[in-house]
Amino acid sequence: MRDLAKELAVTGLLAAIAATSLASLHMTERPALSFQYSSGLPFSALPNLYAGLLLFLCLLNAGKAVWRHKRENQSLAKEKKPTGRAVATVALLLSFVFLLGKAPFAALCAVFLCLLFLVYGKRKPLQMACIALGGAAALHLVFVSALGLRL
Amino acid sequence: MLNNIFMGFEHILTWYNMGMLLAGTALGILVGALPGLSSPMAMIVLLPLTYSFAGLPALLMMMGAYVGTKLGGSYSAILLRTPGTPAAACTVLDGHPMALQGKAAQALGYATIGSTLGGLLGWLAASLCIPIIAGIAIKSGPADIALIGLAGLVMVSSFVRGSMLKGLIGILLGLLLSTVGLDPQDTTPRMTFGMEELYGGIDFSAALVGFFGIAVVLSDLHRIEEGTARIGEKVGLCLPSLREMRLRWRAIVIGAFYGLFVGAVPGVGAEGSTWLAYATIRKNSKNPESFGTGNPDGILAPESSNNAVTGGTMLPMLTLGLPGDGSTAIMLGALLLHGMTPGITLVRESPEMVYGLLAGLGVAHVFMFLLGTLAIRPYIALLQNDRAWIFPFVLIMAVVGCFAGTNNPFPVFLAVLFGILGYFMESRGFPIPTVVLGVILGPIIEVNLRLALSLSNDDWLVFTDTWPRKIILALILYIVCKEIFLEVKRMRLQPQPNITL
Repeated sequence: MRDLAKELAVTGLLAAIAATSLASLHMTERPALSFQYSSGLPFSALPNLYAGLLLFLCLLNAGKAVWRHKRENQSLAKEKKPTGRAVATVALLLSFVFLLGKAPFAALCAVFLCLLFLVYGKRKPLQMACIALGGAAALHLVFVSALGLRL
Repeated sequence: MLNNIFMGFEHILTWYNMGMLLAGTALGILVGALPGLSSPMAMIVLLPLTYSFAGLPALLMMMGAYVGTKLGGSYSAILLRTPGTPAAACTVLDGHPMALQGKAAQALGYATIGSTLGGLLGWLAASLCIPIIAGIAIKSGPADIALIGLAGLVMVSSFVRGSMLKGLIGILLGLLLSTVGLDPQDTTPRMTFGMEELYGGIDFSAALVGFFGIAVVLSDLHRIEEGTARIGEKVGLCLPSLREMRLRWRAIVIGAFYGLFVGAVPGVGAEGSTWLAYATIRKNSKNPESFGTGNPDGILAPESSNNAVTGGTMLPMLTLGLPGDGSTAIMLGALLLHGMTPGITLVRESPEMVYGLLAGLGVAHVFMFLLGTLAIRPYIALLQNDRAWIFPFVLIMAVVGCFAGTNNPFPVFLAVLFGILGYFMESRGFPIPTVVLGVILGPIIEVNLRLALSLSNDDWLVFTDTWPRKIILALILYIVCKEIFLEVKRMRLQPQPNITL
């Protein structure tokens, strides 16, 4: 049952993207200053087609998942481990992106690396610090000093 | 034909370009050897580095990584029984038993020579075919280009793992994302939700990094639990003798044949070809029961096939702008990031890029052989590293690759969003490369479709008015109908469950 719920949730998410796109296109008006082409497809034709088809196929996939579940009454895919690490990774990644360009790159990398090592189950502080500091220095050397990227 | 190939070599034979190719190949072998890190990931890691380089050197570096990962994947397959890349899974069957018999050095030697010769055969065939296909493709009009793009997407959705339905959903999502931004004809903002950052469309680097970098790391986090196996003894490399290679040439040729043809079909990649090559060589062997116990042909055939795929994937990529696998999809994205339009027009507008990359493919195989034979010990030492140390670095490189293009955090936030979406889609078996292919091919299809209609005064029959167009349309219809028929058949044949009270 949980498996079916997950399949429906992901399919529902994709269907929601398609529905939002359709709604957005429906509300879009061609600006008065835009170039007017007499022939060819209008601006919304292809996105509408893609979104409509996507919505239809999502519904088809949801129907198929329900049908398979009823018929087989068993799990469709192997369960993976809980997603705690994935959530922590995304949270750290968002913080990293938010601070990128605001904090010194090398320091930011060192802290990010240390925290991720911790999330991924590393527990030796000296080893973690050495790899994080060495890695951050190497990344700074390559991207900022050698390649001149403005980070 | 030869003039073009010589022109390619002329463009790449500089110390700078050779250095880039060598560095890419070295990184590729390393990434391929590390279980859990794949060829697309090596390219995502390289993305931030390429911003500082011109188009050809940047793409050469990626080409080196693409070729290198093919060999690297066999190291962990042979020594750890864990294929570094999905395509190396077949090498485990005979490579690991051979290593267990104390012949790890010989197994690595067979893998190295099989990969090199297979790759060079694939390169040779691609070098002969590309000028011919490009010569025909160059005469195509907008309607042909739009139809070829559409056919490529349908083929990809049909051949990717999992169901065609999920493949089509992935492609449509990619196509939909590709339409975000100002309309290319009349500049009307589409699905921008009032955000000015989206007026230019979805940043390619955001899609590449999100779907191929972040999503893959998130999906593979559970593998950290698996830990890392250790190789007890010191391992070197022992190449087979010339006499032995004369006896085993069939395995290499059969592998290269499958690799080339399977690689040339958009979206299939190397995984299928290695198993086909293995099955064929085993079936035709006088001693089929020896397979699975350490038969050298069981290493040579899949490794040859695995590397010959690189030549095969170049055929649709360089001539039609259709990626053969995830790695070539990223290379197409990198072409766009460097201001070039992949597809039929590439060979007309940037022949030095097309033939330079082709020449780079051949040279990368020579570098791969040299690195594989001379520096195998450091690679083996590095492949025992834990994924928990590696994934954080991959994430930083991916983020920098996305941020450095515009120095704006918006594409990176978008990439994280795509990474989360890709993670959920991957967990339910939606093939992620299809989304990226949709994003890359979407603008090419849209621009050419609308141009064809504008030029023909909105006459849809323009898509059927020549024989090549009729054939492409028939091919699209055939694939779709065949897949629907197979899907219905599969659903009917599924067994009824045992109902227990």
